Amino acid sequence: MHILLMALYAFMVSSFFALLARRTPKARLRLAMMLFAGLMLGSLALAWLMAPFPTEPPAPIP
Amino acid sequence: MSRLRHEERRTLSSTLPQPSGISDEVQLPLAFPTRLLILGWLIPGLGHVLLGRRARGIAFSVLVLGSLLFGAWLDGRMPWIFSGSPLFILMTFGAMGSGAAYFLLRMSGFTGDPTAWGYDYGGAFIVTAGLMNLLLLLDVHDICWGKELVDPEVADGLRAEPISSEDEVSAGEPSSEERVEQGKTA
Repeated sequence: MHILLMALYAFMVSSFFALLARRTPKARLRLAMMLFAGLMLGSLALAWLMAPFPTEPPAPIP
Repeated sequence: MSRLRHEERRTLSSTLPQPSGISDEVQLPLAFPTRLLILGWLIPGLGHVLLGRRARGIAFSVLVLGSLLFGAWLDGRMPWIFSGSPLFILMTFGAMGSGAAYFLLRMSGFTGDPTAWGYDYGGAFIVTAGLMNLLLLLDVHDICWGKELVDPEVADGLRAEPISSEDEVSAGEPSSEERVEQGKTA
């Protein structure tokens, strides 16, 4: 479920920026795919880099 | 609303939304689009709709409001300015970017459920919705001031010849030739 939410978030953000920054459908699709791939792969890479760090209990909710 | 739309579009479409490089002939004095920005903040996408970018405005509205409502559906964190942490103050201002929908959610008593599994995820969706709408306001401002973003490949073409009508995909947007013509007649 976590990765599904991450994918949904990446899809939403990439769609938004593609719609905002490009005018032609082809350019929008290309930018959206690049952003989506960057967000997904970047977050997975970041998670992989953080894996060796020790985990701590979650911070208290204010 | 219709009067506002007529006035804004008559002023703006004749002078402003031309990508740089098309023509330097039409340079009329501009007014800061206060009403457009306020309306665009209150209802995401409305600023673009009033500028004639109907399809984009509706798509932006769906994205922003969909993100906000999805975050609320996840029982996400609804940031409030008196949460105690300076970062939450910034988070609150970001979420307030969603405009009326944010305040309607708050007035309905929604604050998010800290015990829900989607509390943090939903909070991210809620804050992102507000931040996206703030970016939309900047885009509305740029359109009004003739600094609309243009694709790099289209911008390269603009230096040699005016933008073609096929490059403008949104319905209702005047072509570059029409804008220049409208500016001459205004």
